[in-house]
Amino acid sequence: MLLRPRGTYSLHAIEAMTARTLTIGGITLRGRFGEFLKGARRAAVFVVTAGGEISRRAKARCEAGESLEGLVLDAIGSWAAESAAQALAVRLGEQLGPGESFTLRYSPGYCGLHLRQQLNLFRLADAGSAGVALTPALLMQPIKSISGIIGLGPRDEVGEHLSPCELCPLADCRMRR
Amino acid sequence: MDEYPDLRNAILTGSAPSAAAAAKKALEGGADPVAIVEKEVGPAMNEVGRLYEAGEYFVPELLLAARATKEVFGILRPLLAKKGAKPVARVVIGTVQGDLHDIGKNLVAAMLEGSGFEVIDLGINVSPDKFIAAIREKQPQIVGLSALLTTTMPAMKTTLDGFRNAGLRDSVKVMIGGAPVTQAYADSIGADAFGENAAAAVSVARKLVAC
Repeated sequence: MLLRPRGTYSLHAIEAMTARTLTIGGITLRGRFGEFLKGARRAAVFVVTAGGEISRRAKARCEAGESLEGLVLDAIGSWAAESAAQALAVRLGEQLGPGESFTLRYSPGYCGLHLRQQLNLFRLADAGSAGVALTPALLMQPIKSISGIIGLGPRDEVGEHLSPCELCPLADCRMRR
Repeated sequence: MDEYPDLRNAILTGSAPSAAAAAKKALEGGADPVAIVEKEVGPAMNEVGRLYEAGEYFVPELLLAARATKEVFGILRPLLAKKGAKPVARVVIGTVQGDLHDIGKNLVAAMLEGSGFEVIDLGINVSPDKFIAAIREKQPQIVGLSALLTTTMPAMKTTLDGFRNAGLRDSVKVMIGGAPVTQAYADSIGADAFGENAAAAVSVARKLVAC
């Protein structure tokens, strides 16, 4: 099967949060939580994946000289991982109380959440159950996977930003929206 | 004036079968393989690069044109070799250690191959030692380093330091690229060149071997 989307999450009460730290499940994470999880009372740690087959197929097509097919398969893999994250958010929506909403999704490697935090995220969420593992360089395998944290809290308190770029200091980023 | 407009059009429209047929027809008509490369294939790929830079072509068109050209080189290469004509240059390319992303690097490799370069692709998560062994064994003129993440980008510097420590830094030109990579970063780690995208990588590589 080309795509095998899977995902898992764990939901935690926020034990403590400062501008630069978040404590959940007895573990203190470091990052710009004061901005990204502003207003949150609970935090969901999640891992989703599109599975590994799509990337294996993309690689094989590239190696066979069919780079365009490889590129398209790779893009489908990215789309599938993103779709899995959105599907997980829908599932997580069932956990929202009356008048509650989500914060932005905050993932390691972005905006001050160092890749080292992957270790903590993988401790908090049962990533293995989604078939996702970390490499020694702390990248996820399968590569078309997304990990992160989403805050849940009162709708009028959580930061409802239009774009994460508003919180990002990389002014000359080519991906800025 | 085009001597073999069918070939040029086939490359510009990204049709590998038509390009191969046009190249064979030209050869059957007595065309010099070197002239085919110089008058049609090279200018066609330059035009593809120009159209990409102008925003008229996108990555799929680049790749189709590169595939068409690779097909033509497959036909011409044995004849070019007989005439003593060599590839533009030999390039060793890879994604640096710790990084598993290869699609950008594959695009650059396809474009370089389609532009007459010989490409040796070391794959992903390539250690400095593996690059160094490839330099020693394959004697490339250019080494291309790719990274997709800000967190793996520093491995480019580590790799270049490895080349220096191995006494190989001056024997190759090093070009770097990838989503977070900039000219300023290339300058800061002492790389010879930065390719902003797959089309730019070809012109950058040509300049590196011309100087």
